[in-house]
Amino acid sequence: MSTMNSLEEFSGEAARIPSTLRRELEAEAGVPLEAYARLDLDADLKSYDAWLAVAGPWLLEARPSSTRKWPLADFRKAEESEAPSLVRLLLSDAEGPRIGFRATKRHRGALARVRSLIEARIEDPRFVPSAKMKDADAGYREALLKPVLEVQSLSKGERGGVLSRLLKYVKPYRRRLLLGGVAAFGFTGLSLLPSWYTGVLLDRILKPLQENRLGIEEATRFGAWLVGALAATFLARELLAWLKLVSIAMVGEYVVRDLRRDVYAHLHKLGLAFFSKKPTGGLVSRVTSDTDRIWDFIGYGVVEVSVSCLMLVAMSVMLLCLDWRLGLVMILPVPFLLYALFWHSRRMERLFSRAWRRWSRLTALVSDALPGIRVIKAFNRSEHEVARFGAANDAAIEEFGRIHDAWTRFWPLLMMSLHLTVLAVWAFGLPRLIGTSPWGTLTPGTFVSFLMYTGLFVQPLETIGQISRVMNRATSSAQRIFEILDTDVGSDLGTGRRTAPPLQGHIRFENVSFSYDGIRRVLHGIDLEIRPGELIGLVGPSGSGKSTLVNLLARFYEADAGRILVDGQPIDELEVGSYRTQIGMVLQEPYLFHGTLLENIRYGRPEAPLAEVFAAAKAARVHDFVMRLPMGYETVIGERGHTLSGGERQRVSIARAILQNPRILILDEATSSVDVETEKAIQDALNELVRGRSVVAIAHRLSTLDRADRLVVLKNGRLVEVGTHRELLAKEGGEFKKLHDLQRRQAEIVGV
Amino acid sequence: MDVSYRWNAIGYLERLVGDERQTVRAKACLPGREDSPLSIRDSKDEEIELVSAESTLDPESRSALARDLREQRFSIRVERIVEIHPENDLRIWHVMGLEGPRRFVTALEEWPLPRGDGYSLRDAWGDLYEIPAWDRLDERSQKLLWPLLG
Repeated sequence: MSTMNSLEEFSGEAARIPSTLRRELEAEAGVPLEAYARLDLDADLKSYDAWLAVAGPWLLEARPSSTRKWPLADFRKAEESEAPSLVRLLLSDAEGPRIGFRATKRHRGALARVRSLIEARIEDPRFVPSAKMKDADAGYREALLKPVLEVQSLSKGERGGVLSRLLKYVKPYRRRLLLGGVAAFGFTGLSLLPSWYTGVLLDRILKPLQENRLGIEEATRFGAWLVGALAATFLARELLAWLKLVSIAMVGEYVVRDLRRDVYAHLHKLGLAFFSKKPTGGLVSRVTSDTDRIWDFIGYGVVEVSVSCLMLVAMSVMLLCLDWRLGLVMILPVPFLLYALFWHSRRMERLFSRAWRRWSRLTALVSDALPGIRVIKAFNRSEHEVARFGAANDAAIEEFGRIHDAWTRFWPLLMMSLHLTVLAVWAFGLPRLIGTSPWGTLTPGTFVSFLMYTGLFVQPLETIGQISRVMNRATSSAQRIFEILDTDVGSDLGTGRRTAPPLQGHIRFENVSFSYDGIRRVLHGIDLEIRPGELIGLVGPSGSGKSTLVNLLARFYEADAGRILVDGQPIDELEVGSYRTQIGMVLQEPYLFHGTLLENIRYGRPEAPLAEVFAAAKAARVHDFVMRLPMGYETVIGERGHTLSGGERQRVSIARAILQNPRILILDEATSSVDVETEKAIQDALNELVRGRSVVAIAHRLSTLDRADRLVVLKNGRLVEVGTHRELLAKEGGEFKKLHDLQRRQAEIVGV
Repeated sequence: MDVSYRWNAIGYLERLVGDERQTVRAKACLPGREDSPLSIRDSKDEEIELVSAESTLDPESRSALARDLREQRFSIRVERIVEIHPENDLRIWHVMGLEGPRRFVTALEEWPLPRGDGYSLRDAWGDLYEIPAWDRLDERSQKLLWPLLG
């Protein structure tokens, strides 16, 4: 199902502005629409049906009866405010508020696009959105669907497509699957034989023996042959069961392995923009739990359900072949039993939903209380918390009680239905067995075989009853996985394929502009040259664009306009991997992996000789503290390096950067979250690291940048000052001087 | 200087101090209570004034504040539930409200919460829905809602 249909399915909203309205608005504006949103509330909060759009220099509103337009140049300000279920857009001109619009929150994203474009045009009437900004229709759809996709990855109705994509993953293992299928077929056939043997024993051996139509010797030989056949059947059946499980279950494992491998490899190819939109926890579950659910489907769903279906069909054929009249007595109730199972599984879903809710409440209570145990004890609220838990626990048990109640009522009823079928077999079969029925006679063997087959009916029926649940879970998981695999790599990382040569570190930003959403610019026309070996300090208030600038240099994002050159080569023409190996980064929160200190220092150069590792560690002031640890460089540090102090972690990350020997180094608030003493140790380590490299350093504490060759001051995404520390301090009224004075005053207040 | 509030022609709350007019918003400190103190906030969402319930404002100001509060308390009223359709980690709701039919989605983990006599529910976009008390719901709505009220 397409995105358009999904939008209508999820919200009942049209996938785009009606074409007649669009034509009217475009005729009015004389240019195509660039962004639009639906307004579904009027000023009295009654249902409304209008569209607000931006087209060139115009703001337009299409109402049911008329169209209005305003020149964007009239406005000075666009403000958005929210209430629990509505969003308001207020536009002001030079004299104050002029016009307001309202919509329910589902239109917030689309309205925000409209507002951003209005703001951009207020700031610069000639503003042209970057290519990153979607066309009006796509932008509208994306804005409406985004909150839904954050809850759930893909739209419904793609089960067929998802299953066929899953089948492509199964294709390489089709031989194994075929083998498993043949084994399942054989297993099913053999499972039917023991009941048939019983009939044969009665009709071909015992009855003829009692009627003296068969001698004892012959009966014994025939019986022995039958016992042998039974033993062979059991043996073959279990062999086939083993073959079936090994073949098909392993296909499930292989498919899941391939999916996991592809998803994980694809995740590593995606740019940071993808990760900033998706919570890490959700991605972890896609690589782990979602792939597990698919195994569930292939390993359990496909195998067990197909075997069960096969079993029911084979049994039906067998029964009809043995005796078609009695066979119909057995087979006719099966559709009703299947419907009862389906009905029961729907009921159980409703009950599980309630139980799940209560269980969630219980687990939420525990995960909320335990991390706050110190507060609970300090306020002497343990008794209260235990009572709260007790109440939630009882509530959960109450719902689980309902589930057990439903099971225990349903299964005896189901079994009773099966017993009724048996009774019907008896009632219909006995007169024929005795010879008093007008429907002909029945042999005791056939009768007993029928009774035995009734016992085999239960399991397949139960398994088929579960298929809907397993299939739903698997298709939803597969969709979540395919969403990652379908995310375009190229759009995030550019298309550069040329291997980067060894760099000197001559960096040039040429008129670089950037926006994350295609509208709101966070960098405006940055021009900056950094000479090889120069240390540049990036300074500016929060939100001024410092981190964005270094992220562009590291190629985590691509510039919208202008270009960045290193040694005269545009970086987007270079292959990302070969370029990044020559860039070192020391971040505010250093990330260390679970493993030994040696592995962490060698992370960028696993083959680095020990002598170089030790030299890097000494330069970063790491070696001494490592050697005080009992296991030295083989000390395993916990997840994210939590067994080390903040300063130690930072110095290990500096050692890692020194060992990598990058030509360009980015220091992003490397010393901002540590105390003064630790800062000195890190600063000493950094002094070693920056020597002979082109360095771009961001620091909140301006005092840490006094060694910089030049300082670059950013404000609102614009480069406003460049100069040495001394030059900028001497500039009265300059941005750097203001920031510097502000920090000095704060330091004095703290000192007081 | 006297402070008063007016509901202006374009549907926004204005704070009047002498000749000065400022567009503001009234936000209830305790949204569930009718007599809640109100925080009067400017466009930067900073408080300008805290208006207590006992405040001696003129009737027109009170009416203007009440009008703004209606927006703050606005939620979508559900009259009956037509269908709840679980699908791929989502719940798709078809409801009939005062303003006609409406369709929305919630996460599977999003449950209706008791609110007043009835229930409230937030959809994936953040819109708040008010569902009437259990005994005011028709049989089908009750049947559909029951599994979600554990």
